[in-house]
Amino acid sequence: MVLDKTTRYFSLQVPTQEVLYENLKKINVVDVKELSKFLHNIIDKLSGKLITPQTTSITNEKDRKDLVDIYIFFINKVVGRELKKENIIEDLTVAEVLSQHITIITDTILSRFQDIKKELTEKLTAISSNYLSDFDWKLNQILSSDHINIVQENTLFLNLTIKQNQNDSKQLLIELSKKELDHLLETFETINNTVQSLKI
Amino acid sequence: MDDVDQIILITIKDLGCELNENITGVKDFDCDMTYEFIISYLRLINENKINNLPTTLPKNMSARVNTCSLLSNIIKEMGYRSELSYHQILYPNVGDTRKIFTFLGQNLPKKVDTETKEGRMKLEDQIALYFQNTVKESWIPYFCPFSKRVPGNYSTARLFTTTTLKIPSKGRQLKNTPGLEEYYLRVLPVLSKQVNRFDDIAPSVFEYNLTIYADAQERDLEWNSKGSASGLNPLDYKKNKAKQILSKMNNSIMNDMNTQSASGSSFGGQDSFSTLLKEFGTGKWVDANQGQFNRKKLFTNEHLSGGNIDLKQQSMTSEETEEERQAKRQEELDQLQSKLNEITDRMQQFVKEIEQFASMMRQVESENVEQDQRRETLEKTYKLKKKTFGLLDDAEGNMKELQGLCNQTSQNLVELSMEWEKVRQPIVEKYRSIKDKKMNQQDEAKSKIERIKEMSELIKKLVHDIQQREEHFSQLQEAYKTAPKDTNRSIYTRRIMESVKNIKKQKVDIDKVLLDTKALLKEINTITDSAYRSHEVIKDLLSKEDRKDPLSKQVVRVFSTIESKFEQLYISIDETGQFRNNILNLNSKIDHSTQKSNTLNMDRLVIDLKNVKEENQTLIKTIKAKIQQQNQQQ
Repeated sequence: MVLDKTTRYFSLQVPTQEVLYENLKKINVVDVKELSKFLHNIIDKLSGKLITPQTTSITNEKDRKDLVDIYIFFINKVVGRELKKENIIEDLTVAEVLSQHITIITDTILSRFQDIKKELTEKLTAISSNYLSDFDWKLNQILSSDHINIVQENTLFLNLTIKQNQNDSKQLLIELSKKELDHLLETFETINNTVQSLKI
Repeated sequence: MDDVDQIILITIKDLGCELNENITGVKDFDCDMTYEFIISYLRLINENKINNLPTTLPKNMSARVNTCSLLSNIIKEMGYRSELSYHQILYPNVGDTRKIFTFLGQNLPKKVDTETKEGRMKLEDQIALYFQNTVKESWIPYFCPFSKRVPGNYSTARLFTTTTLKIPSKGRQLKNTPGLEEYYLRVLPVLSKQVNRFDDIAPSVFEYNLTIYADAQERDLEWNSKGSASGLNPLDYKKNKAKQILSKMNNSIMNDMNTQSASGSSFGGQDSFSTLLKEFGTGKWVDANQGQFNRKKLFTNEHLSGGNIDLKQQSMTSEETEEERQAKRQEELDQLQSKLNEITDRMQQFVKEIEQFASMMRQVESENVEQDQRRETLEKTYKLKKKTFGLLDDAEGNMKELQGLCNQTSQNLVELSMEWEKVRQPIVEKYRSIKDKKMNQQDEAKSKIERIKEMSELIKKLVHDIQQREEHFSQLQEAYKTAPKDTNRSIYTRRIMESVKNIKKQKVDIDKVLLDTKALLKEINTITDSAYRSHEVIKDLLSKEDRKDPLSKQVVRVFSTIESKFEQLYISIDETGQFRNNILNLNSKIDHSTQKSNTLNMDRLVIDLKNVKEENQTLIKTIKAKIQQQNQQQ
């Protein structure tokens, strides 16, 4: 894939953001031994884990936070554009990061590439439309009603938690008889088949 | 009875009691051993019952009797039918002891099964047992208060929550990406620390496992249904599919873009990007004909005019009231608005006009094309007509010429067709043969694919079979491992076989004896018949010769005496037989009673009696001594 380079960096498309990349070289302070773990923790944070990347080399809390933020930004850009190893190295070299650090950073990013990509894709799909985030179900048996003594019918309560616009979530409660449930499952089957045909 | 004894001995050994080698059967048990063995039996059957009893018989006589009577009571409580009191244990006789042990043995087996296997029960069995117990228990929802729940199974039930896990894997990826191994080794937390709560570990692992399994299964299914029919190898198929999907996506996105740009072009050739932006806009700008640029321009205009107002305001004196100012502003705003409306209206008009012109242009162009076509056809017809007019002068000659030409051309045509046929035939044949070949190849390929499918199914079946067999094998091996190595069973079976053999032999013997007796009976019958007949004949003879001869009379008399004597003899023989039977019966009774008397252990009883007497005497002595002491003290 031939990349068109719109700015000094492969990973950037908007020239104004180049100022941000000036901060990339601040990682040179971090000890080489700690670097790999530090970066992995940053990636974990990116993937939604409650974790604060720690390093002993930076004592100032604000600096550390800034560094974490800028690297989250950088990793997002790199993975988002699906850069090759050479391009990442070049970007980092332009940003004046030490060569020893560069190899560690590229290795780390490339080793977690698929994880990050998955995470980004999930985030991306989350902004576009509603999606199912959780579900719960219970099975009720109706023993009798006010007219009929013995009913003995099973109903399934399906509770769907649907996320809209990232943070609003909607609860959807459906009551299904056996026939309806069968129908629903059939529909799911066809949906799954369609998805399967689109899956690589 | 030996076999029963052997079984009892083996069970006793299994129970963990020490047995002397010279003990060969129940008859060798003395009272201490009997007591000990019964206790070890009972310990397995019900340990609570024998808590009060000592493991070995005490030495004191009275204590002995007490414990033995307690023990006998326990055994009776368990449902032992025959007579049982302390002396059957204290003075064991073979029959009773055997009965007791067989009774205890019958009560034993189930207990032995569960108790001895508990330790080495397989994990699966334990799980199965746990679930069995869980099924029996009534379910209480997780939100019920803890106090009402039965401690154990369902009280630990909770909501199913999972965390996505990251599990290191070997393979090509690990080799190709340099940092991955380091990540797995140093940074990636262990599985139990990846989850947020400890309780989530198992569900998370289940989910992870299931997703991978389901994914693999779906892939497999797809490959079986579509992939194998395509005749590609899996990798190529995957690549192909990826390509197809990519192109599909591209197409759909392109289509969308096209429709959007088409709708955008109706707004007078505006940039599609700006329309896109407008769709995402805040919605305040309702006017559909204004794009991004226009909006910007208008916005700046407004700003400028606002600035003008400011300037004006500064220059104005403070005499102007607020209301006037507002009115002015409103006026200006209205003016601007009307101007704006005018401009937009004009814009719309222009756009419409442009569209009209464009459509007119199109119409005119199409008309042009039509005219051109018409012109061409007209030209052609004109040329043809001109030639025919030229030829009309010499009509007949020309006709002849034309006919000649026609003949020639027809001949030529025939020749050409002949030639063509010559050329065509081999080509067609070749084509047909190639087509046939291709069809054959296709058929072959199809059949091969079908065969491949069949084979893959067979392979799956075989793999399944093998797995089952392996499972079975491992189960059997487990069972073999857990099975006791002293192989009671084989001993039993061997013994059973031996006894069956013995029984067969005995049956054959019995059959022989029966045959002999039958033969004997037959002989006896024939002999008695012949004797009877001869007796009758002699009687007749004698009665005939009765009157002629006095000697014969004597003979008759002698004969009658002989007859009576014989009858007496018969009777006496019968009696002796009866007596003999009686004797045998009595003998067996005597044997039985002697056995009983033997097992009564008279010697032991006498010794015990002596012991008791001695004990009594010593007790009396001590009492006497004490009384003397008391007397002396007094």
